This record gives sequence, structure tokens and C-alpha cells, in this order.
Amino acid sequence: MKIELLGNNLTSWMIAAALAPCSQFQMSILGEKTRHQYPPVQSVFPWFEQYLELTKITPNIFTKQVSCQPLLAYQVFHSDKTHRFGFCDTGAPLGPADFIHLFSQLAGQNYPVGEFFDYSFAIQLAKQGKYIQPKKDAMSILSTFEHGYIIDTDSFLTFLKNQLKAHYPGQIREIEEIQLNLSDKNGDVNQQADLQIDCRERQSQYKHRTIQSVSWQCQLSEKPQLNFQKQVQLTQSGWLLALKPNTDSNTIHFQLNLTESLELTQSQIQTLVQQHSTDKNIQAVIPNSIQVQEIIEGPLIAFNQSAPAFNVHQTQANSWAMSSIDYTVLFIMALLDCIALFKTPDLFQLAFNKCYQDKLTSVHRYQNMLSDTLKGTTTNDSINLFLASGRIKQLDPDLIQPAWVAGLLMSLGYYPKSGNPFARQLPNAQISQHLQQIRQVLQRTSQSI
Amino acid sequence: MTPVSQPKRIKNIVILGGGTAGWMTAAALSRALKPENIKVTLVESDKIGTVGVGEATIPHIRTFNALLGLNETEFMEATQATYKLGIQFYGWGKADSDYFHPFSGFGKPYDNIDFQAIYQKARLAGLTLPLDAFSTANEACRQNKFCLPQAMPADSLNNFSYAYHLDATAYAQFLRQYAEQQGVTRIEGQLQSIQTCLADGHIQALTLDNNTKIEGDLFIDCSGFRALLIGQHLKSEYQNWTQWLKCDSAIAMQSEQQKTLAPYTRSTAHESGWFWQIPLQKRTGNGIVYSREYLSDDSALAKLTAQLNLTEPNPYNGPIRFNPGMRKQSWQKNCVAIGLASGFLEPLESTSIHLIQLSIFKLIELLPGDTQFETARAEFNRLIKDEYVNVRDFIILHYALNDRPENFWKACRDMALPQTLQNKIALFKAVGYLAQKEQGLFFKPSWQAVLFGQGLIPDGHDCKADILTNKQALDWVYTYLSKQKQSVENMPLHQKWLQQTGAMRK
Ligand SMILES: Cc1cc2nc3c(=O)[nH]c(=O)nc-3n(C[C@H](O)[C@H](O)[C@H](O)COP(=O)(O)OP(=O)(O)OC[C@H]3O[C@@H](n4cnc5c(N)ncnc54)[C@H](O)[C@@H]3O)c2cc1C
Repeated sequence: MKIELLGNNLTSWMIAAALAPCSQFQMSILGEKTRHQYPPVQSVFPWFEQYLELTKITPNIFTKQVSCQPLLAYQVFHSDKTHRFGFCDTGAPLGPADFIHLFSQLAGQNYPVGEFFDYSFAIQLAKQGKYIQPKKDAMSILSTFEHGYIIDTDSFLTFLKNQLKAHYPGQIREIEEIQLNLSDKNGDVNQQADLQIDCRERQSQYKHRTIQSVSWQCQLSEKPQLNFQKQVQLTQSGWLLALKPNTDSNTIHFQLNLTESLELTQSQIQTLVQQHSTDKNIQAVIPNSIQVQEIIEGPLIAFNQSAPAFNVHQTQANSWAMSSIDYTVLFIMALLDCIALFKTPDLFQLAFNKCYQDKLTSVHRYQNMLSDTLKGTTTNDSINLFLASGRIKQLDPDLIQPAWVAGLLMSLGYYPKSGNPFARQLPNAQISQHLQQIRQVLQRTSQSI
Repeated sequence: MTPVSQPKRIKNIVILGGGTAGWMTAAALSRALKPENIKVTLVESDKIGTVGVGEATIPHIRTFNALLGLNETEFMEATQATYKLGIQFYGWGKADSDYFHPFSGFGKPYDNIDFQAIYQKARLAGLTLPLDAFSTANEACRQNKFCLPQAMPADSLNNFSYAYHLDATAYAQFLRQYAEQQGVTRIEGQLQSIQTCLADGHIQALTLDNNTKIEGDLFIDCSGFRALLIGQHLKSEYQNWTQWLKCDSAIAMQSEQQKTLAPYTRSTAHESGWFWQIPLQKRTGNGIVYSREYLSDDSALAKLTAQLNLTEPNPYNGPIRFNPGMRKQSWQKNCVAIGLASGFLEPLESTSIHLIQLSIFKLIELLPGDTQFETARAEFNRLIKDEYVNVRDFIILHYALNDRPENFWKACRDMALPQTLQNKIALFKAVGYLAQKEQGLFFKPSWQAVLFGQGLIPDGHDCKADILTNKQALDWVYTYLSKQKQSVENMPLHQKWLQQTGAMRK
């Protein structure tokens, strides 16, 4: 089967890497090399490992050859406090009573229970700047968490190209000479392919640059203690993210995802960067590190005639958790799920759009939880359900696990209403002892690592 | 301003009805709640009795029994239970078609490639066996064999799950004993009147024919098809799905125990519906399900009698009338409907007890501390509706894809299907595509079983499987088949297993 990937960029190479293990797929990557307009350092959710599985690249090789580090926790600054949550379970139930209810019951009665995340192993590790690989063994404390990654995108692209060229030399052709007419739906591409996947950069329709995010790097006076974590802060302009591509790095990478896309001049961009680089440890903004990501009209899910098309420009806006790589991974999962339907474009589109959209919806819901908790929005059904009953609404399929949502909400002080019938029938002393035991076990185990 | 009653702590839960739904609910609540905190009372009327059917289950019932901490052997002996590995559908696609819907998947994937696609490729290389042949559970069914998956030798295939056939009345009795031991109060009597709060319409108390008044904060309507609280009193609207599920009547009749106990339910299609056959330890449960529009009650009784090779009918229960559909809101005010009071699709896939269990689990998850029910209610109704619709579509599929000549079946074939199901069939027909599902009932293997079983062979296959040649695919499926054969060969007969484990007395 002949597949043409229009556009020569990280998206097309990521797709090629996922398809390459199927030897019947012959792929051409068409067009001049372009650098996607997305931030050079990005975090990804734990399902990135499913992507690696598709590519047959082991996490071990990936972490050795790509500049990256595992992501265990988000660190959110809000109201002069640091809140932490991640991709992990917290505490343990007692009979039919969930941990969130046990914790809330004692916290509501002013017991000295500490923070919710004190009962999560992964968060404790992250706080101490430690990491250990999770395990599947249900009996082990190492099965209570998953992790994402923080990735340097240039290094990732180079790695993918090398991998593909080394392992699948006959299967992938890179044709740079071809001129793709960007305004035309199909460009001047060869129509012989069985399937085309459009990964081209679209051109802005705007006169001025309408910017959705700005990224830059700073040199710090001391080594930033940001290992295995990503910092998140909601500023007046939008989400300010801070991350390090790897644990040895002396620089910190900032990204400001604007709440609303703005038309900005060069000097306005400079001002924005300065305004958001005020940490006392910052020595200087690294010259030439400032990059902007423009917004370009167009739907997130698009079919260019019969070809699935990935619109990278739509991915960054107003997001604190999802990166362009996350979006690409979800796009690839949906593509591989439905690719068999390529001969019937209408059905392909029907299945693909549903599959992709369902995945996006579940992640967007998670993202909105943080915005809504920080802004104090009261109309979020999922949050209201949690407050009333401690239940986490689940979609089908849902990429976000209930424990991750509970971690986010509880960490931000959103506790379910007291009086849960199952927690209430337990004596407070028994609950308190249960909590204490959990803390002790976590402390002992995390210290030994 | 409308006066609204103040929220108060839930202290009393009242269940109306002591059928399978009522006692399952009582048992589960009594397990989770301490009576000194929340008191559970169940009202039932021996004069009215229960619907008296509902003998086949699906594997989820094991989760329910585990929640209660029941011992499997004791439970099986008390309910005269046998094991169930799936359902055999005879005469459904065509008059002579025969397939199983097992509690297992099919074959073994190759490097993340679904077995279905490999199977389809093997057909291109000349394979003539149905997909149905590649399931350990099916093979065991054909040979009337059974053992627990965990008891299979290490190198054999134990890729199946199981459920039970049970005596529904005995199960309710067993749960009653359990619940009463845990502190549930049972009150005998017939409902006479309902007292409500004028301010918000919440139910406050039930008064029985013996003048007993039972007050509660939350009421659970398990009164069966009568739906005394949710339907007759609160007037929660009933959504009717008879345009898709045309059967509306059933007659149940018991017969002698099978000579060789089958580890599966048998569903045999007839000209205007189907027969069920459920093997229990000491008897066989049988019944006919039909549409009155196409078959009279008398003819249905005669048909069932003939099907059982009897000259005269045995004592029977029926005709039982039902109206496939569900309450638009199973939870209204302070009343939650569980069981037949909340809805009924039809017994084809033995899903009713599962829907009871689902309602109980969701109620327990969502149960608030006080009588402010709004948020929990909305979520409960959403979850129950989603699952009913999902089960509905799956059951419709059995009827819609048929090739039988009779008028009833022709009408089923010609009916306009729900859009969700239409899409599903179109995507499957093209290349065997089935969307991933992670929650609720009926994942890919169930759909594969029924779609292939009813005779829908996809036009194409998943191109990811082209990593294998057709011949390699053929080898793969045959290798699996021989492993399956070996695995089933070593399994004991179902009957023998039941006796060996003490679940059935010799
Ligand atoms: C033909 C047929 C076959 C079926 N087969 C299966 C199957 O194989 N698998 C499966 O899972 N399900 C099956 N079902 C469904 C299953 O039978 C029911 O889901 C299950 O029995 C639960 O019933 P229930 O408890 O809701 O109602 P019922 O059994 O009808 O119980 C109602 C209760 O309410 C009480 N009651 C009623 N009115 C009053 C009153 N006025 N005062 C006091 N008490 C009152 C009664 O005494 C009784 O205790 C089948 C159903 C039918 C109709």
C-alpha cells in the first residue's frame, strides 16, 4: 500500500515511524523540510508510550537517544501555593470508602492530614527530584503511577529519522524536490498513492501575525530544580509553562499559551517575554530563543477531500497540558485504528473523526478542570458531580484516568461534600490511623530510592 | 416562593419489592452500609409474588457475588446453578444457521493485529471454518465441557470467562437470607398508599394493607413491571422501543433436567420469535418469546409444548407481557427504579440481571450523604440510559441481520435501524471495522460473534494484517486451532466438574 505524507516535518515523520513496522506500507514524505511552528520543548501524556509501542521503539532506547526526561507531576502555582498532581493513584480505600472521602472527612474536621498529594508515591518522588520506573505488578507500589515525558523536539525528530533510515530503508522515501502548492487542496502530488495524509503547514490568512503562543529559554543562576515536573501557572495573559528538556540542563524553557490569540509586533512580543521572566533566579533570556506560534484558521479535524489532514496550528491555543506531540499521537492512534477504511472515504471520515474527536474530548475535559478550578467556574458538570458525590465522570473511551482527575481537583482544594455514607460509618480514629500508615509507607519507600 | 424541604441526612432506605432486583439491592446495600448508620427496609408481598423468570446471567454477576463475599460452591448449590460459557443461537441468521456468542474472544492476535483480520485473510487462502470455530469457550460448549479458567493446565488456553444459569427464585431467597443476616428488615405487606411531601413531591412514606407505615429518605422501586413508585406514582415517562424490539410476550415452562448438562444457554429462533433453554442442576428452564402481532398466545403455547417434545404442556408461567423500553429517568425525586420497574429490553442476551447490578453499583458510587440528590440523579440517569441504549442496539442486531423468510423476520430485516447501529454495520461491512469501547457491556468480540454469526462477512479486511501473506494467516489460525483442540480435550464434562467441586450433589 502506497502512502504519501504531504509535508516534511515532525508530524509526518512521527506518522511514518508508527506505520513503518507494517512492511506493506510504502511511504513517501513529500516536500521541503519545514520546521513546525511549535515549541521546541514539549511535555507529553503517559499514552506516548503507546505511540512508542507502535513504532517498536523501546522506552529504553528512546530515553537514551532523545534529549528527554520522565514527567511525574504538574506543579501548579496558585494563590501563593504550590499544588501538585500527576498520573497516579492517591492513598488507598478502606472497605467501601474511597480514599478521597476518607481524606475529605478528616480534612473537613481540621485533622492535620497534610496535603492530598502527600499520599501519592509518584508526587512524593517528584517533590524529592527522584524517579523510578513504574512496574505493572499490582502488588507493588510502583504500579500506582504512570509517567509522561518532557521532550526536546529537534532531538526527537533527528532520532526518528535515524531510526527509520536504519531500520526501514526501503520503505520510506524522502522527496524534497517536489513543490507542494499549499493553497491547492491536493498540491501537485502524485495521485497514484492509495492514501495521502496531509501534514503540511498551512499559511496564515492574516495580514499580521496572530499569535497563540510564545516560547523562550532562560539561563538561570543556579541549576533549576525542575526534574520530572512541569510548572504551570495561569497568568493574566494565559498559561505560563516552565520545563526542562532533561535533568542535566542549566536552562529553563518557558512557554506562554495565550488565552486569546493576539496580533503582536516584535517589540510587544519582547515585552511579553520580559514580563514573564521575572523569577529571581533568571539571569537572562537566551538571545534568539524567542519563538512564536501563529494561529491559522481551519478546523482541528480536517479531511482534505479523501485525505486525513493534521492541523498543527490549532493545537497549542489555550492549553496547559496538551502539546503538539500529544495531538499528533492522538491523530496517529485514530489513523491506525481506521486506516483499513481508506478505500471508502466517507466511512473513513466517519470513523476517523469520531475516533479522534472522542479522544480529544476526553483530554479537553481534563484541561478545562484546571482552568475552571483556578477561575472558580461553577458550571462545570464534572466538577459539580465530584463535589456532590466524589464520583469522576468518565467518557467512553476516556484517556484520562479517574485517579488523575481526583488528584487534580483534590490538590486544588476541591473536596467532595462531607458526609459520604461509607466514610461516615468509620470512626475518625481508624481513618486517621489508615492515613498515617499510608504516609509512613510512602515515606519509607521514597527515601529508599 | 415554592417551599422546598430542607436536605437531611439519609438514615432510612426503603426498597419496595422482593424479586431478584429487590434482594440484590438489599444485599449490596447491607454489605456496604452499617444498619446503625443507614437502615435498609424491604417490603414485599407474598400474595403478589415475583415475575419468576430470569435464570441466565453474564459474567459480571461474579463481581456482584464477590462484593458480597459469597462462596461460589455454596451459592451454586443453593441456587441449583450450572456454569454458562455463552449462548448458542440456532436458526437466527438463516433457518439452519448455528453459532455461539461466547464469553471469550476469538483466536490470538498476531503482533497487535486483531485475530479477526487474520481470520479474514485465511479465508482468502481457502479457510472455510466460521470465526465461531476459533473460541475455546465455543469448543467447550460443543463438547459440553467446563472447568474454571484458572484450573486449566499452565500451557493450555484459558482465554474465556463464565457466568451461571440459576434458579431466580432461589437466588432471591439466598440473597434474602444474606441481607437479613446483615441487618435488613423485611416487611410483608401490600402497598396501599404513598405519602409525599407537598413541597417537593418527594416520597415520605409507604403505607401497607396491614396499616404499617414505612418512612424513608430514599426509596428504591423494585416492584417489577408494575413500577408502582416510579411509574404509577411519579409518572416517569416510559420510552418504548417496540419499533425495533418486536417481541412482547413470553411463556415459561420447566422440563426435566438435561441428560448431559450443557454449559450454555440455547436460543432457537422460530417463525415469530425464539425459544430459550436454560440447563439447571435438577431441571431445565424453557420458554418461548414472541410477538403477539405474529403469533397468538395459544399457538405460542402449542409451539413451546411441541418444541419440548411434550404431548401436553407442563405447568407454565405466562403469558408474561412486556414492553421493551426504559424509563426516561430511572431516578426521579427521591426514588430510584431498579430492575423491571426501570425498564426491560428482552431476555435474548440475559442482560436484565446485569442492568440491575449496574444500577446498584452506580447508586452506591453516587449515594450522597444527604437528600440533595440533583447531581447524583442526573449522572445516574445518564449512565443507565447509555447502557440501555448500548444493550438495545446489540439486541436489535440479532433481529435486523437475518435471512429468514417469515413475515416477522422480514419486518425485522426491513425496519429502519437506530443511526448508531446503522453506522456500526456499515463500517463492519466495509472492512470488518469495529470501534474500540472500554466501558459497559459488549466489546468487540461480542459484536464479532453476532455479526459473523448472523452471516455478515465484511467485504475487506484490515490492511494492517497484510504484513502476513494469506498462507501465513492460514497457518496462524490452524496453529491456534490445534492448541485450542488440545486445551479443550483435557477439560472435564460440565456435569462432572460440578460434581467434583461440590457445586452439585451426585
Ligand atoms: C420472559 C423473561 C425472561 C427473562 N430472562 C432473563 C434472563 O435470562 N436473565 C436475566 O438477567 N433476566 C431475565 N429476565 C428479567 C428478570 O426476570 C428480571 O430482571 C428480574 O427477575 C428482576 O425482576 P424484578 O425484581 O424487577 O421484578 P419482580 O420479580 O416482578 O419482583 C417484583 C416484586 O415487587 C413486589 N410487589 C409488586 N407489587 C407490590 C405491592 N403492591 N406491594 C408490595 N410488593 C409488591 C412483588 O411481591 C415482588 O417481590 C427475564 C424476564 C422475562 C420477562
